[in-house]
Amino acid sequence: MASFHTFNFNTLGPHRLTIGGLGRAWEWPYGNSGLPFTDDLGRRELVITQTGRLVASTEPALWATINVLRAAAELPRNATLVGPAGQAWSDMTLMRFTPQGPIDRGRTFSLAYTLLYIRIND
Amino acid sequence: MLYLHPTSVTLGSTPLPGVESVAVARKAKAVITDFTDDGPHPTFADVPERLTTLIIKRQLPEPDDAFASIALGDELDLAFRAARTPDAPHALRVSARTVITGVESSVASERECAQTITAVAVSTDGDEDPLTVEPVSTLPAGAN
Repeated sequence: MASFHTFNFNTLGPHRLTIGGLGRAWEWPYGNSGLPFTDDLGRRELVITQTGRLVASTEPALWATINVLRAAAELPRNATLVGPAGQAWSDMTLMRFTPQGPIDRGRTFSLAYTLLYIRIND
Repeated sequence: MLYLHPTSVTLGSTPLPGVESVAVARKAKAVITDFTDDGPHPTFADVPERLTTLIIKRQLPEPDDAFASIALGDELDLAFRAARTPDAPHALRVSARTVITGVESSVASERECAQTITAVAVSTDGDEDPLTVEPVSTLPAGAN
């Protein structure tokens, strides 16, 4: 179960977190800079991707959640992201909310999505 | 659902004699399963795409006009009367808008030929169940 700002994602549907590449960022020799050696650019920013599915019992309720997430991504919203085992990643910015495919209408109304968080200037 | 020995079977505007059974198969066309970071089992599943298939089995002394007139892709209304149990009176009226997906003929015995018609039932708006089952007694006079 993840949470971010006022969002308790457990109430919105199943989801998973994926941590992006950690370590250093660099440019290979003779890259854009033209330098003949590897150019160490610094520590990589922390990037976390949340994939999941928003689930609601009605279509208006699902759209309400979609609109709240869209607004948070457009602000952008900066807060602490808390992972399922209580791991806390502070100063994360919600950069993008991406619906993945159409709304599925079965027993429930649901939408697969991706959220992208970045710790900017880390 | 399996309807045995239905009566008053029509497909399109054509009466369809010799129908032995109409089987209804409902299958998931798409299944959603979602998982969490808490364990290996899905915590959510749903079926947002569903397929209702009708399998009509006929047995006749000889091929009739219906053998030749039903073509793949035809969109036809299927209607028949049926019973809840083999001994009960035909107290149900079953109907569906269908699209023909298969027409197969075979030899049933020395004196009879068999035909199997397969069709997909289509909904009027995507939300309504494509199969309508009504008790005959609730139908207006003359609708049976």
